[in-house]
Amino acid sequence: MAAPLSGGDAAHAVLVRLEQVEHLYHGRIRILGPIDLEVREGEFLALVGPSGCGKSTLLRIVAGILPPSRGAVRLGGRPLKGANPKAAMVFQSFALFPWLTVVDNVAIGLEARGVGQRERLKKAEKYLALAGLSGYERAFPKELSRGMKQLVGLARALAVEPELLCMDEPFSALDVLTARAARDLVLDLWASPEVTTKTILLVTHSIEEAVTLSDRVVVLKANPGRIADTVDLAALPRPRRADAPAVRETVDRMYALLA
Amino acid sequence: MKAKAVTEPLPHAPLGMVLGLLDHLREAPGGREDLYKLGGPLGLELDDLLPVTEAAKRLGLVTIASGDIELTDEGRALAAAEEPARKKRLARRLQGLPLIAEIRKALDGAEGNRVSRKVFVRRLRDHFSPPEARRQLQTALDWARYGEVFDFDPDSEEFVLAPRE
Repeated sequence: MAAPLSGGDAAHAVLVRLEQVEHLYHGRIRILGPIDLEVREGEFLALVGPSGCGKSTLLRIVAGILPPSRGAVRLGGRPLKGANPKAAMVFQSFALFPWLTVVDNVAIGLEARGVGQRERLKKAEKYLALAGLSGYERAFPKELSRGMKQLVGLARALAVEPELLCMDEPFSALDVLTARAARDLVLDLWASPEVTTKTILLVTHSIEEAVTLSDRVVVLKANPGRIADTVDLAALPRPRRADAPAVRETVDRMYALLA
Repeated sequence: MKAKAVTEPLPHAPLGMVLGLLDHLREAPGGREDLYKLGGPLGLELDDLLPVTEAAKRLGLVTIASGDIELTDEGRALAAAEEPARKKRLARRLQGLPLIAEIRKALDGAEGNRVSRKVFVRRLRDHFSPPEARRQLQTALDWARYGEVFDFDPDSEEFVLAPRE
């Protein structure tokens, strides 16, 4: 089915480029790299691999939350310094403020970016509605199921209208049915003309999840974290059912890469 | 009668799981699946799964017969709908549940469209233990919020009508 990736694709501009990026523990033990990686405009890119392969570290380096020990991160050709202004993050642990209502939890991400109060509320309500959460504006996080909490985290990230949405194991703390609905929603939003964010970088330990969602999958190995292969899935038709033969075959092939 | 119907407890299932179940069934051949396949293979414990299938049934989105679970026409339409159409469809189903319908009716008739939570806790205490009465109201609120049927004001501890746009 999916052929191995053959070099860069001229049709897609590169949003973020990592060049020979390494992450060192205590400045001397290399736990990640060297890694060369492109995040291309408009793609759904997944980083998949076992624990210890450094996929979350890599995501944080792309988001500018963590500077690489060595190597360069380029954003539109310029070196990235500090947090990536084009990226927003969704965390596995939801990271909501328990003392703030749902709408305020979404608006606070906009406040941090200097958006005025009226505009904050408008944007927060728009993205809550897109996530199917209008009606919950005045609820507090403790009143929400885990799935709803993660959708609030998603609405908060999308509300700043980032070019790049970074998601770190966003579905792994959810039960299968909730995760199922949340994944479908992410794909709907990615395709929606209402949502300006068109590039998604997903970190997951689930090969099935990477294959059902992404255009391209970077498979990482551990000790030290490095790229085993990059698999182009653009030719795999959507929507993708986990039990479709082409999907199963691709999943099997990726397990083989890691074994 | 209505007073009796309220005593039929709402299953405590997150609506997100109910929607996930519909998405799952939509992909199954004929919108139908063996119930047991939702357990083991999907990795769900019965205690987690049964409130979800019960909720979907009570909302008229699935039928359950002889070990099979199957989408109804409404369930199929709802699974295929995107927001906000999905929410609107579900809102209509939610108002068919006695407890949610009763709270909504009380709010429609109340001054300022507000009613203290205590009123409903007292109402339910005839049928449920106090902790279960609170859980029933919490589940009703959680579902009603999804459909924007009503909301809750934590400052005054009152149920309120969802603000209209």
